[in-house]
Amino acid sequence: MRHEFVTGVLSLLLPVLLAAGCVLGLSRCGPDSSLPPECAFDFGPYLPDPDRLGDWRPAGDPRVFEGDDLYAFINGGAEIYHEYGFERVVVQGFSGDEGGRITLEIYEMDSHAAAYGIWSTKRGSEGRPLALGGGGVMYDYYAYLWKGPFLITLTAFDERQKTVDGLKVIASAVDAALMTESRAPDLVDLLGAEGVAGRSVVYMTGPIAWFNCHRFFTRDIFEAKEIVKGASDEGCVVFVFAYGGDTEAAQRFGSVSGVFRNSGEYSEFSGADGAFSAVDKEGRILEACLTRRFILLTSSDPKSGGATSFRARLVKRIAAFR
Amino acid sequence: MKSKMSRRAFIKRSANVGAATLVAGGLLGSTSCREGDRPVRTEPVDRSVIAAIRGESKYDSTVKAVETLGGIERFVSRGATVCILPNAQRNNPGVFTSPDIVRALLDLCNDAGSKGVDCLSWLPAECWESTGLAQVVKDAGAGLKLVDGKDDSMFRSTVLPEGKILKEAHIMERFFEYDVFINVPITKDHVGNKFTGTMKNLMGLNSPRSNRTFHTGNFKNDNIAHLDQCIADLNTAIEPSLCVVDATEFIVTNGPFGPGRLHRPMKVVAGRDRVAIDAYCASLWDLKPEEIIMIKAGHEHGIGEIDLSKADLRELEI
Repeated sequence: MRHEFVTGVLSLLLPVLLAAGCVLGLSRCGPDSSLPPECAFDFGPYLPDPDRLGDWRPAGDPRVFEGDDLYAFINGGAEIYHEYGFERVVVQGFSGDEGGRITLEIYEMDSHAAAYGIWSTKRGSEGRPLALGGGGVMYDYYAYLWKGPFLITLTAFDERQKTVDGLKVIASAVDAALMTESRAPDLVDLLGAEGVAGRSVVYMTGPIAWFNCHRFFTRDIFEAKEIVKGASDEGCVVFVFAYGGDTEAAQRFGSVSGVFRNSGEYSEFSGADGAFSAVDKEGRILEACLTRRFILLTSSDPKSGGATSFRARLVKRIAAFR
Repeated sequence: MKSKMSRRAFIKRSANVGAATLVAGGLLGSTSCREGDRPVRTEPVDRSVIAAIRGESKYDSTVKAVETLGGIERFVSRGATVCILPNAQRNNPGVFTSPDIVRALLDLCNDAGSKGVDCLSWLPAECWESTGLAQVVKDAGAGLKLVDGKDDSMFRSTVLPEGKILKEAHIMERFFEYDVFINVPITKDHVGNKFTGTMKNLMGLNSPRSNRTFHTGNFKNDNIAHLDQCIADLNTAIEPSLCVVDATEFIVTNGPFGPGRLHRPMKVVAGRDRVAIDAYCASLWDLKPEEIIMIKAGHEHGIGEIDLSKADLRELEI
């Protein structure tokens, strides 16, 4: 009798307890109680159709981390995502027939440019291209894709061919699930039109990405709204710094020019009329000029020709840029 | 690859280096976490010795590295309590300290007659489980002491008189209960300051709330050195008894969480001089130590030697 009473009470309380646990993020929503609540989140638009996954199937529940909760997921590595403009990340594990494991992370950024930017810092120049979304690259055990406002990261936990093939299968399925087009930042298109190798291009909107990419000084003397870096076929590295307007760019150029002139880090400074040049410690020639709301800076080996004509073409193209 | 040396084999191997231990015995000392608010050196110490052991077995390399420094007894006395701090942040390849290295250290501490060994962390249990580190701790009969990083009462406010930017740290209260602290990072790429190793790993003892201030310097008014300097400042408050770095396989792009390109020097690097060890590890993937602001700042603080030509570097292959 007592047993039946207890069972009855439990059967009445169980749904309530489960619901409360769900609200508190303590139940089926995630494997760990420290994870944020995510019961209400609709994973449908993000996750791939199971019918497109072949031998692979979801392992465990999907999870989502929004805003500052990103620190709970990638503590210490979260800042650069926030610098570009982070919204949320959806995480789902997958398992294969032969014990393979793959983790899918879909980072939703606040714009196409932000997603392109974070992708451009991660893709590197050595991987194999993956013709998916706005662009993709694959390495021995991982892949990075960019599609619209999304950066998609896929990580395999072994390098067996079957698992690596699984990466491609899941990447394709995610690409199909995320229904969006992909628009690269205008500045990136500008460099592309001048033949700058796409894989060399890095698009930045803040100091963390900028300092991770290149350091002229230990201070951010450029303070640009957008920065794009790329390399030409001639071995010339180009930086375009974009500002809100012509006046702001001119003021910043004067300041930047002064810092280079007075720095012991660079020699042979020469400057006049919206342009300057200097030589860095490795003997590369830095040449900078002001063009409307942009500062254009190139770094080239004095032995390799072509930097001057490359820069002239870029200046012309920037002059026609909005 | 899991590779565990048996206790018997370990004792046999230890006997082989007995003579070397006797010689090195007078050179290396131990530190305590318990004496006051910062560790105090209890014996004169030659910190210039760095062991860098290359081998396929991470477990054996770890044992050999500690032997090369004079043996675990130089650091862990019978009855001592030991705190071990691996990097357990994420289970991506080349991102977390190898469980085999931690397993070797736990075995060494147990064999040395320690009273107890704990891994201490404010990272969630999931990180420890997914990396395999929780299992290693369990297998060794050690403790995994997880602290709620959001609970400020779990951290002790610690003034840093020598701090240039960071004037106050918030160190896990529990940390001060141990006699010995073994710092066990993995070296790897980091988006914020290009490199992580022994010095940066100490952020794992400082509260997450305090750590956030390291990363959020105003780069326009301050400079890129903010994060690096904060880490160097934090290191003025804590001196590990021993550092053992996983430089076996680690990411050299897309750090600190990856996935990224893996570099495989297959080395375990051990010693006491954090600056010299970090300088050595940076050189393993062609970084110039003098260009890593954190390493330079550590040297300027007097934490260690940046010039590797002044280190007693003992590189061995097993």
